[in-house]
Amino acid sequence: MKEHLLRFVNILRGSGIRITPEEVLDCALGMEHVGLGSRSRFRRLLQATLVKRAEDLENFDRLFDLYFHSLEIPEETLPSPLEEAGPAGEAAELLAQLDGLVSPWLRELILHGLSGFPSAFPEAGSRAGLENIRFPLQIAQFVQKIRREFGIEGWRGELQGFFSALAAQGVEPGAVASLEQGLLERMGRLEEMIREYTERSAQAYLERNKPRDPPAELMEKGFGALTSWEIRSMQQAVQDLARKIRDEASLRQRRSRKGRFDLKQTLRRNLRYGGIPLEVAFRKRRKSKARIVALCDVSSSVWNASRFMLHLLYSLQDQFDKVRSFVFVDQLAEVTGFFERQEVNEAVNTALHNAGISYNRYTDYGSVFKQFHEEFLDVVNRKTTFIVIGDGRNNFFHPGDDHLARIRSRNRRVIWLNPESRGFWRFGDSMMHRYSRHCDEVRECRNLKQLIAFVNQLTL
Amino acid sequence: MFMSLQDVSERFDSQGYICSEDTATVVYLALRLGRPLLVEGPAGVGKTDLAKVLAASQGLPLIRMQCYEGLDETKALYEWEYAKQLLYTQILKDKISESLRSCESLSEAVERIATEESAFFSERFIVPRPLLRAIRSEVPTVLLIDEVDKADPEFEALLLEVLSDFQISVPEIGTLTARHIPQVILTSNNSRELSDGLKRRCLYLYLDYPGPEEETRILKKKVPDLDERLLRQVAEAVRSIRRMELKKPPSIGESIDWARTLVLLNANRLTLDTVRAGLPVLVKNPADREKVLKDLAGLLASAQRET
Repeated sequence: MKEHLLRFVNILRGSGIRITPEEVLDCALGMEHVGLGSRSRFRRLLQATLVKRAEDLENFDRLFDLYFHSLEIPEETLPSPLEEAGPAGEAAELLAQLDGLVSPWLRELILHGLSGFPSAFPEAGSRAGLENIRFPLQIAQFVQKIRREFGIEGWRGELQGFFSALAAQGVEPGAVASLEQGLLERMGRLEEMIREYTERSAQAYLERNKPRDPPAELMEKGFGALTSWEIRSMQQAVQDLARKIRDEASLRQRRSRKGRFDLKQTLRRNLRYGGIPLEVAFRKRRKSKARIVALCDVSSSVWNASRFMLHLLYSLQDQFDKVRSFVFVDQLAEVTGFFERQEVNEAVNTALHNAGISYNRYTDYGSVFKQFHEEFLDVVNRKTTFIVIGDGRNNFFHPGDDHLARIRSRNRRVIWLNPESRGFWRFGDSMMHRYSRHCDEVRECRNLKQLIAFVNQLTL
Repeated sequence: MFMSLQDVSERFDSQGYICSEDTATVVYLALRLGRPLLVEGPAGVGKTDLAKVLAASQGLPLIRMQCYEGLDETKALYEWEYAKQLLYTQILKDKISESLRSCESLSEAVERIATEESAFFSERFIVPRPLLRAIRSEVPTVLLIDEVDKADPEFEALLLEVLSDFQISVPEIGTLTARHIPQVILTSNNSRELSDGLKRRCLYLYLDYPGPEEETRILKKKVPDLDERLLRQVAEAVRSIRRMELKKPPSIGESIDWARTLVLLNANRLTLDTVRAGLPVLVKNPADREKVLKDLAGLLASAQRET
């Protein structure tokens, strides 16, 4: 059982769950207290000692079911073929005499039936190299290898030899025939059991050996190139990253140099010591949080970038004084309310599909800036960071950069994030050269990695 | 000390705490292996109560340490009682000058005081905070470290040290070791990822909302006046509400409160009205309330269907 445990730990590690040797030790010790009688208790023992993150629980459950199915292989309760056939004593003696005729496993089968085999599967599987299986197509190969481990190929021939020897010794043909029958049945069942075992163990190992899609690649994949499946799988990563940013930000706050000596606070704090300054107080430097206003282009070309930007902004809401967000194509609509009422992912979806603007139009930055200037200028003030996410491609409409200039004068700073490669910014209908004149910072933001770096800086 | 798994379940039950076999298994294991137990899960599922019941069912005192941002050594381990030391110094002024009378020089006087240092730096002048209290307790205790995710990562390092050796070194006195190793329970609302070291040290239990059967049993225990069928409907309804992706899903305490309001309303069936009346108890957020109201009929239907 300890071997099973170690193999299982190996599989868990392979699927990304980190387990220390100390925890494996805990698990082994725990086995003595909990016993192996109940599958659910065994499962709980393994989970409590090996899996320490809520996110890993689902994975653990799945792999546990895949791997420990063999706890449920029913014990062969049929009598051994010999007992069935008749005078067991005689045939056993004969077997002993004819030692060279049958290989050890066949002997096991004849004398004891199938009961001894299941516990030998893991060992056979490991000698056959089952742990290294990489593709489902290899399963058949491994079945063959395991059969060879038991020496099944040679059994037919050996059985013939055995039966002739029995006949030669005078055992009656009827007994030999029923012995043969019983053995053939069991051999068939053994083949089935080998196949089942191989298939199910292979599944567990395949999981572990699967070349895992390194999230690093996804982080650097351009927004435009992401498939919807990839987007979904990245959403969890975005949550985790947001959490990390938040933790780092709070660490930074705490580590920042303490402020100046605060006389009033010191005196107050030391009144109980009779005025002796045993505890010195410093003026805490309170970091002022930024106010963010984000305008996100949601035409199809910039869709994904906007999606992740909104997601990040709202996951990190508490790092900012206030986040107000808008989406636009050729009209502007505020989506802040969705994030107040809905959970992040849902809100992002609503903003991208259902915000009350027409999504099928051509992007028109000029009109959008004008609209913002006319309707929403009160949203911004000297403390606001104004962020625009868009490719700056204006479809040859009026650029409207004078509106952007007016907006800039009311803000602390204007930052433009462009999901397009910088090299393309001068071609076609891109108005970046005009808009960048009115921005404090213009950044290329083509993939999640760059976006994260930007958001990280925002929280500084 | 519990004799067996059944013992855990039974004694918890007698204290009014219903838990799954899984939970009882992990608690038993933690006690047997001498490991702290980290309990994570959504708010209101009974994490803190688990510690209380653990203490009560064994007749042990519960020492509780509530974590918060900025919690540090002085509030968690110990603090010197300066005021008391100063007071004693004042009171014993005469005695002190008497014992120093024979000293010729200043340095000799200082030496003499240094030898008596232990008079003023002893356990008498230490204000023990929860961690030290748990360690120095004359009887075995249950130590509850509540909401450890609210404390800073630096604090976790301190905690890890204490939980590994169960001893605290006070520079002036020496090392204070535990008289009895406390049974430690840590709870977390999962608002941030805890440090690896701490997690490795503990056994892990994820306490989720109970299933309908378990919740019905809990409700039966806490609100015995209600008909079982109605309780079951309540449990089903609350389960459906939890599935609705609310900002703040109803906790177990809230479903108990709802059952109690049904008693007050003398209701014997779940109707649209009784559900609506119970909403303020269950859902404390206007956005969530709107969401539930929208699907009230469907909610009711599925609750009635299941029973």
